[in-house]
Amino acid sequence: MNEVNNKVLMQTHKLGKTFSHGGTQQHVLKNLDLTLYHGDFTIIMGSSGSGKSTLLYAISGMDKPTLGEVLFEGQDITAMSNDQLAIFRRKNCGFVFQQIHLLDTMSVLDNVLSSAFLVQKDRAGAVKKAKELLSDVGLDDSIWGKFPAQISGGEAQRAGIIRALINSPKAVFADEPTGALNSSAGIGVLRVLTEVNKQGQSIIMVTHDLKTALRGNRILYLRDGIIVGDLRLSPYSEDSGPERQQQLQSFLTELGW
Amino acid sequence: MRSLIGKLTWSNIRKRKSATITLFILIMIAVLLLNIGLTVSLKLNSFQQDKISKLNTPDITAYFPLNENVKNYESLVDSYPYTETWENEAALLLPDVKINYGGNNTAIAFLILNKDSQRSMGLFNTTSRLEPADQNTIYLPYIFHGGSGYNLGDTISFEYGNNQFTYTIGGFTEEPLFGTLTNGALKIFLNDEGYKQLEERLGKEVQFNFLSVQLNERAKEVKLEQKLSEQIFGSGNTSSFLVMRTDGGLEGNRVFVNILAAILIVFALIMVVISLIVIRFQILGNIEDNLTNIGVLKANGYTSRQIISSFLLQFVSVSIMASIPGSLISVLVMPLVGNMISSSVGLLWPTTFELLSALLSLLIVTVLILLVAYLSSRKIRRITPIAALQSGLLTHNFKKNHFPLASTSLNLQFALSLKSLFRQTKQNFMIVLIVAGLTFSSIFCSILNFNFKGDTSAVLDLVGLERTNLQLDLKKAGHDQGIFAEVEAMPEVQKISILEGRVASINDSSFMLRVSDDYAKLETQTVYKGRQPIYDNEIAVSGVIAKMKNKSIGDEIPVTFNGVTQNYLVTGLSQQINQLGMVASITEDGMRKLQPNYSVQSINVYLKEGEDSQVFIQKLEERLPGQWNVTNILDMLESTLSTFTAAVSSMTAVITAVTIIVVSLILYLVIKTLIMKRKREFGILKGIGYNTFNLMTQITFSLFPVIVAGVVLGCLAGYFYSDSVFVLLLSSLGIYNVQLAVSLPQVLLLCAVILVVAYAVSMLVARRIRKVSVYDLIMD
Repeated sequence: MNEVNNKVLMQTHKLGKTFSHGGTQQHVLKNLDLTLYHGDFTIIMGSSGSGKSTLLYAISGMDKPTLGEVLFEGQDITAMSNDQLAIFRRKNCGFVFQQIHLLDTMSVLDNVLSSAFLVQKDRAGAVKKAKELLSDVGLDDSIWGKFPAQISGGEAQRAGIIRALINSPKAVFADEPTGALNSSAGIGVLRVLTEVNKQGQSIIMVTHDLKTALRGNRILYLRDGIIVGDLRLSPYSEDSGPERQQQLQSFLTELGW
Repeated sequence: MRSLIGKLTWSNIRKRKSATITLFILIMIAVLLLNIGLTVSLKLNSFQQDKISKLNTPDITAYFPLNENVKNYESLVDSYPYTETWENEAALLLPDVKINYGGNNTAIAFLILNKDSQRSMGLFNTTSRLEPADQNTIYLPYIFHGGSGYNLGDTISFEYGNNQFTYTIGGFTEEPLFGTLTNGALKIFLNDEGYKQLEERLGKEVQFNFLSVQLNERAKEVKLEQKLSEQIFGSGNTSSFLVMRTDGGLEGNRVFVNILAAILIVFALIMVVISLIVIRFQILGNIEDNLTNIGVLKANGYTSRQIISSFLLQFVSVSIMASIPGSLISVLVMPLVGNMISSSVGLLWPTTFELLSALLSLLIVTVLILLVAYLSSRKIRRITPIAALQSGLLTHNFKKNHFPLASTSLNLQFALSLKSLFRQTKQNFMIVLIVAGLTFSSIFCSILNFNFKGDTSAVLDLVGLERTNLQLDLKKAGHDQGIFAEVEAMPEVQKISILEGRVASINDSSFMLRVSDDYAKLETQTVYKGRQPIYDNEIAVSGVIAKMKNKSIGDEIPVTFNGVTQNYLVTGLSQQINQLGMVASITEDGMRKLQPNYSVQSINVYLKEGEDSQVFIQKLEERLPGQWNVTNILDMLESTLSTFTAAVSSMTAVITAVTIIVVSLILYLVIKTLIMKRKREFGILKGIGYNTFNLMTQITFSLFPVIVAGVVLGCLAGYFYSDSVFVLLLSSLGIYNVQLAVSLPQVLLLCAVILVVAYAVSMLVARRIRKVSVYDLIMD
C-alpha cells in the first residue's frame, strides 16, 4: 500500500468477463476480487491473453463486465448505462492508449481541449492549463497547432497523457503506453507518468515490460483471468537501487513469467 | 483471373452490404421512372395514331348548325381537289350541359350523335358495352370512367336549359378528338330511339351537322379548314361551330401528358445523376478504406486493370440487378399511369410491356454507371503498391485546423460538428448537389400543382383561354350592337369584353385570328414581348408565327381573310398552347379592313364577385329573351383543368415522396459510412467521456448545415427558376415566357418537411453509434 495514502479508489467483486465467438465462450476474467488505492501507481502484468487490457477497461467503465461489480469510490459503475458511464469517465478517468489514439483530424491542442471543454466551464482557464501542461511535458507552442501525423510518436503520446490529465481525473488508466514507442520516447513518457503519480495522481497501467513495470509501487500479476500475484514495492525514484528490480524479477520468476 | 475479379467484386459487395442495398434502391427507382417516362414519350404519338387508324378518324372535322347553308358547305368540301372522301351526319349540340364531373357540378358541351347512323369515319367504339341497350342508354367518352369514376350501368343525370335528363351508361367510347375537354365539345352517342326522342324534346335549336373529311394529301394542304371556316362565317352564322384539323386536336390533347412525361424523365435523370454521384462517392471511399488491400493485391501481382475491373463489375452488376425489379415494378405502375393518360387523352392506354423502353432505360443507366465507375476508379492506376501499403501516407493531407477550440466561443458539440463539416468538403458538395436537385424537383412539382389546383391564371394564360364567366353569342347576326351595352349595364356584370376568333392565313399558313375592341380589358394576357394592337394597322403575332415567317416587332405581315389581304405592323409577340400556337391578334377596326361588314357577334361577360352564373343567365333570358347562346366558360375551364389536376397532383406526391425517400437513403448511406470510417475517432471520443447523444448531435450537425444549404439552394432555384424550366418543357409548343403563380407558404412548408425528415433520419441513423461499445470502437 502506498505509504502516503491508503484510501480505497475502487473495488471489484466477483468480476467476470466472457467473450462469445461463434457459439464458443471465452472466460477472460474470472471472479476477480480486487481493491485499488488512491495515489498508487498500479501495474497490471501477465502474459498475452491473460486478460490485462480486459481488466483495465472493465474497471475503468470503458467496457461492461459480464459478471460482478466494480465500485469506484463506493459507486457501482456496472449498473450504469452507457451514457452514465460516459459522464462517469469524463469526470473521473483519464486514458492513455498504446496506439495513442489522438484524433488525427484535430491539432494537438484541440485534442486536449476536446476533453477539457467537456468538463470545465472556464474555457480560458482550461486553455491556459492545457498549454501549461503541454509545456511541462516538453511540448511547446510550436507543437500545439500541429496534427498528430506531423509529430513524433513520443510527442503524440505525451500529448495523449495531457489529454488524460487535463480534467484532473481520479485515476489514469494506461494501456501499454510505451508499447508503440522507441526506447527514448518510452522513457520520456514514463517520466511524465512517474512525475504526475508523485503529485498524487492514481495510475493503473498495463504493461509486459519489466523496466516499465518498475515505475509502479504495486504489481498485480494476472494469469488466465485470475490475479495470481500482488507485490508491493517502494515508490519509484530515479535513484532506486538494483534491489528493487531484483525484487520484481524474482516475483515474476516465481509466477513463471 | 476472371474468377479472381469476381471474388474481389463479391468481397467488395459483401463488405458494403447496406451501401449496395441503398444503391440498388436508387438505381431501381431511377430505372422505374425512366422506363415509365420513356414508355409514355415513345408510345404516346404512335398510340394516338394507331387509334386514329383503327377508328378512321377524319383529317378535318366540323360541326355547325343545321340550316340552309349546309349544302354550300358540303359542295365546298366535295369540290375541294384534295378531298378523298367526306360524310355529313346529323348531330345535336348542347353547348352548356350541367353535369357532375369528378365530384363537381360543371358545364360541358355535348355533341350528341346517333350511334346507329351509318358512318365510315370517326367510328363508334366502346371499351366494353352494356347489353341490352334501350332509348335511355348513353355512350360516354372514356374520361367519364377514367377521370370521373363513372362505371358501366351507372345512372347519369345532366341538365340542359331547364330540362333534366337521366340515362344509363351503356359504354365508354374511345375518341381521339372529342373525347376530352380540351377540344370543345364531348362526343356522346345515343341509340336511334334515344337520339330521336332527345331531338324531338329539344327542338330545332340544338340541331347541328357533323362533317368529316378525309384528305388525300393531308400534309401539304391546309386550306380547306380555312375555307370552310370562312364560308361558315360568311354565311352569317353566329352560333357555336367548330372546324378542326386532327393534328391540332391531337396535339392539344397531348400537351399536358407530354409535359408530365417530360417532368418524369427529367426527374428520372436527376435520380440517375444522384446514383452516379453516390457511386463515385462509394468508389472513392472504397479505395480510401481498402488502400492497404489494394497495395497487397498489387504487391502480389494484380494489375490496376484487374482491380478496376472488380469495381466496374461490382457496380454494373448492381445496376443490372436493380434494373430488373425496376422494370418489373414499372409494369405494375404503368396501368396507373396509363389510366392518367387515358383520362387526359380520352383513349384507352394499352398496358403492354414496352421492351424497347425497358432496354433503353437499362442501357442508359448501365452505360452511365460504367462510365462513372471507370472514371472514379481510374486513380487506382496512379497508386503505387508501396504507397497503398502505407495506407495512403503519401496521400495524407494536412488541412487547416478549422474552428480551433482554444479560440472559438461556439458550443463544444457545435464546434466539433463544424470541424468535421469543414473536413468533408467533397462529400458536402455531393450532398448539396443531391439535396438541391431533389428539392428543386419537389418545389417545381409543388408549384405546378398549385398552378393547376390553386391559382390557375398562369396555366390559362398559357393555354390562351380567356378567363371569363360567360360567353354570349348572338343567335341572329346583324343585331343592334347596343344590346351589348345593355348587358354591360346589368348590375351583376363587372365588365364585358370582346374576343372573337376567325381562321385566316399568312402566306398560305392557317392561323387563328383573334379580334378584340380592347385587349387591355382581357383577363388572359398572352403577349410576352411588345404590346397588343391598338390601331387598325397593327397586329400581335404568336412567337410560333413570327419564327415561321421570320418576322419580329416592327415588321409588316400580310394577312388574308376571305380572299382579302392586308398588311399589318407587328407590335407584339404572343404565346399560347391552344391552336398549336398559330395565333395572331388584331383590333375590331383592323378586322374591318379585311371584312368591311364585320360586326361583333359574341361577348365575354365577367360577373361581379359572388354573383351566380345561373341566376344571371336566367335574368338575362328574362330581360333579353331568345337572343343568346350562352356558354359557361369558367365552369368549362375548371373542368378542362380538372382532367389534369389529378395527374399533376399524383406526380407531385410521387416526386415529393421519392425525394424524401432518397434524401433519407443518402443520409443513411453517408452517416453509416461516416460512422464506419470514423469508428476509431468516435471510440476515442466516447472513451474520453462523450456520450451517445453528444456524438449523435455531432454527426447530425456535421451534415445538417449541408442539407440546409442543399434545401435552400433547391428552394431558391425552384422559386426563381421553375418558370424557366417550365418554358423549357413547353418550348416546342411555342411558349417563351411563363410566370407561374408561387405559393410561398407551400414552398416553405415543403422545405421545412424535407429538413425535418432529414434531421429525424440523421438522428435516427446516428443512433447506431449507441449500439457500439467504446471498447469495440477502439479495439476494432
